[in-house]
Amino acid sequence: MLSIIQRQESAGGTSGLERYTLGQAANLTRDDVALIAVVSVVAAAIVLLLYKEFKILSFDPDFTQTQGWPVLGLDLAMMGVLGLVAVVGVKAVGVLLVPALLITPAAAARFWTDRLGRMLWLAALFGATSGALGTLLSSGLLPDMIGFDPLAFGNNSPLPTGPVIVLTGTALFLVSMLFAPGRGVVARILERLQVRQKVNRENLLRTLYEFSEPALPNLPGVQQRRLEEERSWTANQARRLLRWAESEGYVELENGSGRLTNDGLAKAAAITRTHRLWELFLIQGAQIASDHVDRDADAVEHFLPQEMVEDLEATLAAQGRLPHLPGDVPVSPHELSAHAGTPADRAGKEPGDA
Amino acid sequence: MPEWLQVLLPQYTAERWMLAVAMMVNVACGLIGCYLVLRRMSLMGDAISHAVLPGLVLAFLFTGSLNIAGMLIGAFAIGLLTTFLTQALHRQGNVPADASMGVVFTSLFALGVVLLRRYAGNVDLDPDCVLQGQLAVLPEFEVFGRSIPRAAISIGVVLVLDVAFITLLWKELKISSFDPALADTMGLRANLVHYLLMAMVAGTTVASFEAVGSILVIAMLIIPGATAHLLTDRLGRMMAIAAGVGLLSAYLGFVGSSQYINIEPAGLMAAAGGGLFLLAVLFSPQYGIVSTVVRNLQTSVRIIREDILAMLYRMEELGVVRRMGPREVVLAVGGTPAAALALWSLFRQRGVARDEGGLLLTQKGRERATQLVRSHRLWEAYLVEHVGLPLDHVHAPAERMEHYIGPGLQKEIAQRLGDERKDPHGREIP
Repeated sequence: MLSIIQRQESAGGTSGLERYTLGQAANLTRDDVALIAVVSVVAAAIVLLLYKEFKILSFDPDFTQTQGWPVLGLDLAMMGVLGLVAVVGVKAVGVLLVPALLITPAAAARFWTDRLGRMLWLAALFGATSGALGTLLSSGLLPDMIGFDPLAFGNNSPLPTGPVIVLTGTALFLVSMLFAPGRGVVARILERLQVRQKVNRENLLRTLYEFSEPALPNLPGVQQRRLEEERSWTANQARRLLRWAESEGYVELENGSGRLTNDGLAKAAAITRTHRLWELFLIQGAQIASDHVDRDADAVEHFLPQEMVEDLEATLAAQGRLPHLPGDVPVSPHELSAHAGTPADRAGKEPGDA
Repeated sequence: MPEWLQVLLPQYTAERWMLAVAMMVNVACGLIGCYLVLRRMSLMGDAISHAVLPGLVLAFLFTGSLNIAGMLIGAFAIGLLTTFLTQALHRQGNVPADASMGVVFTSLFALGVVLLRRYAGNVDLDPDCVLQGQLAVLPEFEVFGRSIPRAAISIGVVLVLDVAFITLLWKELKISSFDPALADTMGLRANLVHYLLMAMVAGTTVASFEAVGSILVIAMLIIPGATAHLLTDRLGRMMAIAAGVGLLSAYLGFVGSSQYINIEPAGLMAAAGGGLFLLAVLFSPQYGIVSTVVRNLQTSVRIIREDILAMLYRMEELGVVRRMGPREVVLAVGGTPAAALALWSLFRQRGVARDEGGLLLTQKGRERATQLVRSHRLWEAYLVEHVGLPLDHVHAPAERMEHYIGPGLQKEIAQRLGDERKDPHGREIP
C-alpha cells in the first residue's frame, strides 16, 4: 500500500546531518517540494488506474494469472510505484525510515475497514496527517501556533523531522490498534466480555432447569450455594447473575435461593434442549466420549443458530433419535409432552405456547 | 612465520588487526545469521540492527560513556524488547507478522534518533561511520603491553558468546528452527529460544557496528548463511561453510580495498560475499542453476539414446531390411542437437555400430534395447489389464515410463500379469 507523502513546510531545523540516513525534511527547497508533489500525483494516478488489477493481484495471484492478467507486468508496475515513492521518501525522512511511511499508515488503516478502497483513502489520510503533524511538532512552531507546548520539552531546540513524523504515524497506529471499532483491541476485549456474560447467563438458566427438573411441573427454589458449587462461581458472580435473571423476570429471589418463573422455565427449557441436542449429536454423531460432552456442549450451544437447531432436530427425528431422554421432555414440560418427538409440532411454536 | 603466510597477510600490525576484526565480525554474524536464514527471518536481522539504536542511546545516557559493555547490555535489552513488541502486535493486536515487524523497528529507530538528538546531541555521529563502519581507525586499548583495537576485544567477546550460545543450545536451536511445534511438545521452549536468539543477534550486530557499520551488518548476517544453505543440507556443515564464507569475504574485501581501490573495506566485503553467493547460486552441485541445466541435459540425452536403441530394435523385429543412416536416425528422434549428442554417445558406448548399409545394434545395444522394449510392453499390458485404459491410450505413457522401469519393477509387473507373453497390441514381450 502506498501512502501519499504530503508536501511539507520548510522550517528551520536540523542542519545538514545525515541527510541520506535521516532525511532532510526540514531543508527541502521549493524544487524538492515540487518534485515530491509531482511524484505523489503520478503514483496516485497509477494506483487509481490499476486499482482493480492491483486488488486481484494482492488478494489472489493465482486467480489473477488464470484470468489472463500479466502478473509479472503488474508486479513490476507495483514495485515501480513503490520504488518511486520510496525514493522520494528518502528526501523526506531518510532511507531508514521510509519503511515506516510505507507500512505504518496502511497498517493503521487496516483496523478501520475491510474494504480496499476505504483502506487506501484512510492510509493516505493517516500518512498526510502524520507528515503534517510531525513536521509541525518537530519544527517547534506548534507551541507558537496553539499557545502551549504539548511535548513539554525543556529546551526548545527543534527535533529531527523525519523521526518525529514516524513517531506521529506510530501514535496514530497505536490509537487505531486500540480503539478501532470491531477490530481494535478494546473492541475485541469488550466483545469477549459480552460473550462470556451471555454464556454465564444462559448457564444459570440451564442449571436452574436441571436442578428443577426432578420436581417438575413444580418449580422449587434452588439455593444460591448449590449454583455456586455446580458452576464454580464465586458468591458475587452468582448473586449478580441471579439479580439479572430477576430483573428479566426469569427468576424469583427469596432468601438466598432462586425459583424459576414460568417465563424463566420456558427460556431455560429452550436452552437446555439445545444443549442436550448438541450433546447427543456429539456422542452419537461425532462419537465423543459422553463424559467429555458437557464441556463441548457448553461451548457450542450458545452459538447455534436457529436453523441449525431445527436441522439437528429433523435429522435426529428422522433417525428416531430426537431426544426423549428418560423421564424427561426437553421442551416446555407442560402441554407438549404428548407431542414431543415431531419437529413439525415444535417448529411453529414458541416454547411455552399452548 | 612461513613465507606464504607472510605474503598473504597485510604488512603492518595495525592492518593485521583490522583484518582480524573484520574476520571475527564476519564469522560471528555469519554463524548467528544461519539461524535467521533457516527460520526465514532474514528481515529480522535488518529490523534488529536498526531497532537497537534507542537501546544504545539509553545505555549511553545511563553509563555516561560509549562503554562497550553498556552498549551490549542495551543491545540485548532492546533485542528482547523488539521481539516482545513484534509478537505482542502480531498476537494481541492482530497485525500481520511482517507489518508488525515493520512498525516496531522503524518506530524504535525513530525514537532512538529523537533521543539521540535531544539528550546526547553532542555525541559524534558521523554518517559514513554509521553506514560503513570505520575499520581503518579503531581506537585502541593497552593489553599486556600490546596495543589492541577496542573493537577486537568487543567482537572477540561476542564471537565467543555466539559460539558458546550455539554450542550450548545446539539441539534446541536446531529443532526449533526446523519444527517449532515439535520443539514445544518436547519441552524445549521454542519461544524462549527465539527470544534468546534475537538478543544474540542484537548483541552481535551492535558489536559489529563499529567495524562494518549498521547497513552492511545485514549483509554479513545473511549472505554466509544463504550461501551455505545452497551448498549443503546438514546444519553442522552449513555453519562451517558460513564461517568459511565469512572469512573469505572478509579477506577478499579487505585485500581488495587496501590494494586496489581506496574505499572502506566493509562495502567490498559485502560485495565479495555477494559474489560468493552468486557462485553458489550458479554452481552449487545440488541447487545451482548451472548444475540443474546440466542435469536436465544429461537426462534428455539418456532418454533420446534409449529411444534410438528401442527404435532400432523394433526395426529389426519387424524385419525391415533397409537400414537407416546416422542422419536419418537423428531426424527420427527429433533432429535436435541433443539427439545428435545422444547418437554420438551411443557410438562411444558401443551401443551401435556402423557399416556401409547404415546403423545396426551391437550385442550390447541389443541387450539394452530388449530391456527397454520389454518394459514398454509390460507396462502397456499392465495399463490395459489392471488400470483399464483403452488400447489407444497406452502407447504414449509407456513411451515415457519405459525409461524409468528398472529390473526390479519389471519383475513385479511381470508377476502381476501372470504369464503374459503378448502385449495388448499382440506383439511378443521379449
